[in-house]
Amino acid sequence: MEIKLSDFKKGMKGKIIDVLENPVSTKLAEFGILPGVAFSILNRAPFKGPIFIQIDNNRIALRFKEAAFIVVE
Amino acid sequence: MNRTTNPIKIALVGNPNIGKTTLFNKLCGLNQRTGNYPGVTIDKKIGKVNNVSREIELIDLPGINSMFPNSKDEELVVKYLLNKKAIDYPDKLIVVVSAINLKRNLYLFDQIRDLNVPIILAINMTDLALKRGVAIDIDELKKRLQIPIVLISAKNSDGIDELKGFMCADQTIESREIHYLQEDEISTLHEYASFRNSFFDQNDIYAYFLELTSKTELSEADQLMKEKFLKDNEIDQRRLKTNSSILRYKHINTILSDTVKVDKSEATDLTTRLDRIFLHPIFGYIIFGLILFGIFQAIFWLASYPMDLIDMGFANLSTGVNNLLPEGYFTRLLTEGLIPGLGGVIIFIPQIAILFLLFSILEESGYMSRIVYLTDRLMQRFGMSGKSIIPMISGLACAIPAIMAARTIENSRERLITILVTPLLTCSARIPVYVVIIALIVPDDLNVWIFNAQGLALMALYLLGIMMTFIVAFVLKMIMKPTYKSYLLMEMPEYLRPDPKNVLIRVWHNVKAFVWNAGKIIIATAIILFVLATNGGDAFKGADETIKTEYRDLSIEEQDVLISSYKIENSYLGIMGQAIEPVLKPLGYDWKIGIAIITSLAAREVFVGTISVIYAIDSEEEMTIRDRLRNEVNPTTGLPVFGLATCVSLLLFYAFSLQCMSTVAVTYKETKSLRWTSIQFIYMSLLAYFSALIAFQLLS
Repeated sequence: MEIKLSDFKKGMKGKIIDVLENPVSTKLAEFGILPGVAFSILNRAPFKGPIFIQIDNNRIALRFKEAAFIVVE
Repeated sequence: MNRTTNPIKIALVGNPNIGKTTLFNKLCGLNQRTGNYPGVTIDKKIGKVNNVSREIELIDLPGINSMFPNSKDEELVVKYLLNKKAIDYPDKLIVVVSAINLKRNLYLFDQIRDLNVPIILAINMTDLALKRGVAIDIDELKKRLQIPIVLISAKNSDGIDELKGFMCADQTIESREIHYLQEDEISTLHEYASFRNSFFDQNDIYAYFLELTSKTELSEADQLMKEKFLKDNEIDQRRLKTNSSILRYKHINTILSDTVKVDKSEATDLTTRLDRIFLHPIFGYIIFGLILFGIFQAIFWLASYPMDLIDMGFANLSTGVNNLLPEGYFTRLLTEGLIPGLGGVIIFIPQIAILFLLFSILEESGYMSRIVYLTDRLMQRFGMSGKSIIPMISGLACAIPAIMAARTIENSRERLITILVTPLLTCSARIPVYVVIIALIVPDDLNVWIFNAQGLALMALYLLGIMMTFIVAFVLKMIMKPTYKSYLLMEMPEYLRPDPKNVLIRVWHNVKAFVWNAGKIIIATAIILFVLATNGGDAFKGADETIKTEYRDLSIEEQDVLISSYKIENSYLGIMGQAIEPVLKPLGYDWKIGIAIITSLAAREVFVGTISVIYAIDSEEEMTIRDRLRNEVNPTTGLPVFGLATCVSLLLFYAFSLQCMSTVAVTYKETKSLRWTSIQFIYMSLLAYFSALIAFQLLS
């Protein structure tokens, strides 16, 4: 089964493999969330709240639902 | 064209939170707002650049993340940037990017570059980037991008002179090869260009690309053409956009790999360490709660000292003027109309200043974005976004900028709910009303543990406003159908030490705007009120005789008291107040309070001014507003007019009613819907009336 960004815990590092087609896929691409990019999880808000990731020098917060479209390893 | 008479127009564009407004302040020396969360720059601001060889008009646009607009703010900026034929279209753009976040900021630059408008690239925060081990080969970058580039630090003025030089220079720009589309896509767009044949240049493929992929405002016929083309050619707009983003990032990556070196040895920086505390699942929320609590206490007790002084000062001023000037109608207009009315505005400058000071610090430091992050999950349950917290916290100061700040919320339903509920939050205009009424029912020197009891009462009212905001939001969420999928994608800014100059400029701006806007209304109403209260029909004119014949046995002093209260009852103002008394009586209000409610329909804070004008006319001595209200006795029952039940009822009324015409106007402007504007006004009025009614009936 594919692992999603939303499955990762705080402090984990990984690489984005694919971004599944979804209503906000353009927006994700625009924020540099693209296949091949390395990331680390800086923080996760409780109760499936937003996820705070770092890509390059960029700190981005996104919702759990959006993170579920991002396939990672 | 003559250079001296026609200024060059230059617009500042860039992502949010990259110091664009700080740069604007630096270049223009104009007092402007700046902040560290998205959306502070609400409307475009215009300034004149200082110390340059030619006249330059600088336009500061709201920060955007993309030329594919997602929020109202972005829509406005993109529309402005595309409308090249407009007279106010800039001659040149300065794209501001952050050196620490080059890749993503250059993405926006890359999109803007294709507009083919002369561009200067200003790379900001170079001092911070140096500390992070970011090294930029500027000569190579200039060669690659073929435009003027300048390294700056807006906070320290580094590179500003060089930037000014570029701003003054004549500049042209060539269109470049389309790298953001594939071959077949380019030919499709050429087809679209000839199919549409609109006012855009046939070769301006980028304009057609944006029109085809984004939700731009088009006439019905144009929209039909666009839809037909999309359907006939089986174009997937989203895929077209996503592909272009991927191609742009590819392009940027090749440039950056040759021009920027990052030394990654510094893994944990200050922001990361601070976020461990501020975003901690438990401590993060405790800190947030403490910060809010601190704000309320500061507003109340810290501000109380200057406020007492102002209150006494105005009472003394009235007495002084009264003794100085000869007795007469004009003197009375001054001492009983204008001075108390003005005092009603000035008295809450300290609270507004403290509020905006604390807010500016929160924004400037970058903490505001953390609040968005912490609260998003909770806000979603109420049909809003974490981004709604920014309008809501600003709503604690004033609903007008708050409603405008809702423009950064991408989802239209989340935005509408935020706009509809924001005026329920305790804005600063309610503070003077609350302060005056709380002082009547909670003693000054009462402390609960170490906290001032009046401060706690004020906090309870804030909490009540917040609770009601969420209740109404929840109800609206249940009623309104979801539009499109909501999302939250935001950049978290670095923590920065707030720049005292930026903070103070912002406080000054807000206080000035408040005093000016509220002051105009309050002084005008004070004068109208005074005139209405000191003139009347036959009964008013015959007051002296009526009382003197009816109460022949009383002393002259006692007769005078009766005459003045008989006069105000029969003045035009008294007649108006008595006309609405039946509606307000169940809430525990007499006709004088009724007048205050009518006049404060325009703006809540007028209440205090009105009350002080009405009771000043009614009494002989000069005293502070608070003492005057305390002494007021109901002539039929002999009980104080401002008893517990009436006061609680008034507090609830002012907590929920939408007595602010500016808010109504701004809601209409932002929603462009008469329906939602009326719904907001009506639901709040009903809420106010019935909660005040229930409270009074239970307590009396």
